[in-house]
Amino acid sequence: MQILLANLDVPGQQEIETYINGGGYRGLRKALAEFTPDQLIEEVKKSGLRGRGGAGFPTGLKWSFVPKESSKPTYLCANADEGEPGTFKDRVIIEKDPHLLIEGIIIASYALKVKQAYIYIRGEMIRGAEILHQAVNQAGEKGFLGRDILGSGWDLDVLVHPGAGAYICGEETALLESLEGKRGQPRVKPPFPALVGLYNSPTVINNVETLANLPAIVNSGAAWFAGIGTKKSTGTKLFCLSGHINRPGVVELPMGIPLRELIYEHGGGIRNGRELKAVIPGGSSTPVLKADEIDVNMDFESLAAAGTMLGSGGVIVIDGTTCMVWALANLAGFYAHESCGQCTPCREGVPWIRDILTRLEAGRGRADDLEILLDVAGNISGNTLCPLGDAAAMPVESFVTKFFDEFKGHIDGQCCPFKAQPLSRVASG
Amino acid sequence: MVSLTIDGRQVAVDKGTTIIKAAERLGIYIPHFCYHPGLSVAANCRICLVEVEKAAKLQTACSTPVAEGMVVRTDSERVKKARQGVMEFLLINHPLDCPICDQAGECQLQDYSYTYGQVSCRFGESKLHHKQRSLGEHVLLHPSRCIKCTRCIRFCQEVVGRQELTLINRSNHVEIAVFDNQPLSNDYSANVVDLCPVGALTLKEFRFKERVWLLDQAESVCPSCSKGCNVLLGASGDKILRIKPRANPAVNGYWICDYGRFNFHWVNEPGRLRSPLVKSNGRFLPVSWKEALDVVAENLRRVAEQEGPDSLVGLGTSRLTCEDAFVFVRLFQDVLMAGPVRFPPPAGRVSDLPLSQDSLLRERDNTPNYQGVVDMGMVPYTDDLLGGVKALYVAGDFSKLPGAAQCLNKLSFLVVQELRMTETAVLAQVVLPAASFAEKEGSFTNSAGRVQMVRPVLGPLGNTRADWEIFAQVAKRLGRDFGFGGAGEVFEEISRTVPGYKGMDYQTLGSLGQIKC
Repeated sequence: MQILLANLDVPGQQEIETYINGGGYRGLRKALAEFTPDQLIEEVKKSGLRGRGGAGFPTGLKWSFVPKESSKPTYLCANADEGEPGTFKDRVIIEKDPHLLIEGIIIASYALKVKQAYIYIRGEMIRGAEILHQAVNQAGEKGFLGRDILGSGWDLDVLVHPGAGAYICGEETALLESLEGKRGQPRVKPPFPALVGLYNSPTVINNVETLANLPAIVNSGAAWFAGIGTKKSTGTKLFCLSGHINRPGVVELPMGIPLRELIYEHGGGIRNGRELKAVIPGGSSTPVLKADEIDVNMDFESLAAAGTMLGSGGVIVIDGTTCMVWALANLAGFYAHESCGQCTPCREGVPWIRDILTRLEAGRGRADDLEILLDVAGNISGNTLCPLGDAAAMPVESFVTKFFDEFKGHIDGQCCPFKAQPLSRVASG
Repeated sequence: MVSLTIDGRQVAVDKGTTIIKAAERLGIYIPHFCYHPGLSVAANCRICLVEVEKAAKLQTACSTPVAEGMVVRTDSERVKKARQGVMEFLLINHPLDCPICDQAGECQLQDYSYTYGQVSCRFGESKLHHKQRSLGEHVLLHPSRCIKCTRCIRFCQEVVGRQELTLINRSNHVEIAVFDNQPLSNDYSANVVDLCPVGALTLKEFRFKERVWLLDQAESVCPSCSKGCNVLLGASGDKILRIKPRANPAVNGYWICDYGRFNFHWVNEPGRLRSPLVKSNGRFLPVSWKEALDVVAENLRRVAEQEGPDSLVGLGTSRLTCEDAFVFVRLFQDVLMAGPVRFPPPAGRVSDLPLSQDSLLRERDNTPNYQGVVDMGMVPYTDDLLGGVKALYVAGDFSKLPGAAQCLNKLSFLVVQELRMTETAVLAQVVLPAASFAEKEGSFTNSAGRVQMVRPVLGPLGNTRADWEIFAQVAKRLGRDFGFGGAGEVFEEISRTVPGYKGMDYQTLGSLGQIKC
């Protein structure tokens, strides 16, 4: 079942002619011809499509929060600030099949009566931004963007805006601040962007993968889409396989596929035939699963029931040669570096966690370190202004709890027992 | 109205009210650093987290609006744990240098540590250190003490309307900074020091001057313009050390301007008059009050008898309190049977001199009591009335007025009542040392007609006396005892006799004043 990656390897797929020849922009034509904006929102609701950025919020419902009558314009932002470690799915769409995203943006904009949409793309994706620029220009030349789109009387412009390197700008309100030219840090919610977003106007922020699903939903219908995957997690999902796996990369599979099947069939199993130690199932912030916990299905509900999250679909596979203390110190280092510094628990707590873990890994652990780690993570979790604090705290709680003996061993032995096996560093680093 | 329950108590508040304000209505205090009623909500410090029934996470009381039937706990174990966590986070990189910190004694970080913090420290890593640096003429930043509440940033942006401060860097390297080394230079810049809940922003003019708990403090009114901003005077010994704003939503909100804040050097001036002086053979000699007042009374009586009461002129200023002005007017009109007391209209009221004025607080009239002295019966000065004057009683400086020079030369008697030896005072036969606003009780009526109390923070300097008291003593020597036992009794008389002040007394004026009717 390929909705998003079907045409990935078609030569010249970035060109609009190729995209159109493969059936591209049919969804847009159909949306304009057969749906009113409100009908389109209903259709997306019926499809069961949920946000692919990590939180899994129902897309149609999110759209319906935008006021029907407003003196202000409504904006759409495509969130292409893909920065969660272990996540690289949006980049594939952007670089290989950019018009799928553009068409999705135009369909969403039509549903929301948007006249100005933005693609906020991660600053490091220079190639992706160039491709999107070209795609936007081509769509304009064909009359899919600009004035009076396909004779509908409706106008839409799309602007590609590169970020400046901050992970936090993937958080939707920090993204808006950054787009407005301000320091990238999250806003206090409520008000939510649907009411007060970009330039104080109603705004919808959707993930790239979410938007890229829209042409297919319009073409093939909500019922068809809802029939894929599970009852509550419909459609397919892009899974990013990384780490100690034989075939790393992005695969598209129906929601609900067993994690074991994902790793061993689609990912080709563990590299060099080693034993599996752990899996981070949905991007670096999601709680880790131990090797004996991978009999779980990859959908929002099943993973939540297993105490973790589908997140962005970034599956990080960790084999037995990996030091979990080192791995967590690495993750904590990332979050400590990326904390925007706005709110107290995240600003102070996450670097504290990093410092403890770094010391632990260096063989200078103290008896009360693990207790402090868990308590500090607990004091961050749920108490921060935005989800970055939770993202940093969740791995700490799961790593330390599930691999307690390994952490304690670092303290008792005053060293990292994996130091003799530098291979894991090469592999993961 | 929306009704909710906080800590088991019911309260009904307007829709849109935040939990922190609803709790305040019940007298329930929710700790806060970044929240300030005069600024936008930032919700970044996280100390105000409370438990809201049915919400999975704790909610910030500063930003969460109330909802019908909401049940809030501000003291549950979960809340206490979160608060303790926030306190711990705020202190791990804090230098804990309270012994040498100017904020000590009025520091929210200290107070909350005492109330919500923990005794032991479990932070075993290296603290971050930053060097202190100047942000502008008045303000010094100690980044290590900063809790990044952004009150200072929001103040400049939202209240003053100037983007002068910002956050730089990320994570625990975040710091408050100016843009491109442009100093913090707005006319209200020192308010950021009051706003700072910790010792991160200190005032260059006040630092290391005094431990705040040793300050004598008094609620008063700023004398530097007709706005009448409410202030808190802080003094030690015979010196004012600082002036801070005092919240009054009807007048100044929470702020004062830098001009008013630092305009107190004239009170502390070493050259202040401390004793009555009488001129003898061209030189001033210190004398007792009795002697000085006898000379004044005698000369006023003599000139009145010889030249008629119209040859006596009293000249005041709109810097006098209502009480001073009232007794001055009574002395001239009721005792000496002379004309009304005159006063030079403040520059800001008669010309377009480029006096500072802005849309926030500063007013053109740089005297505090124009409205009050007019209400007490003083009349603006014009130079034509000096034609036949023979004796002049000046409370203030007269030398810069038109016609002053010619007039002063022709006088038979000149008495000057002032804080210091002015150009006019040099010419007088008698100089009487007056108390400043910081040394006496009284009232000012601001440009909006709000009558507000000034209160003494300093004891009498040397042998100085309040102006009204000196006028009353002169009157007594001329045969009229008003019987005022204090400024409060003068004000009682004002409230009986001056229209618009009826029914007021120092009690009803309270700390926020009262609009005259």
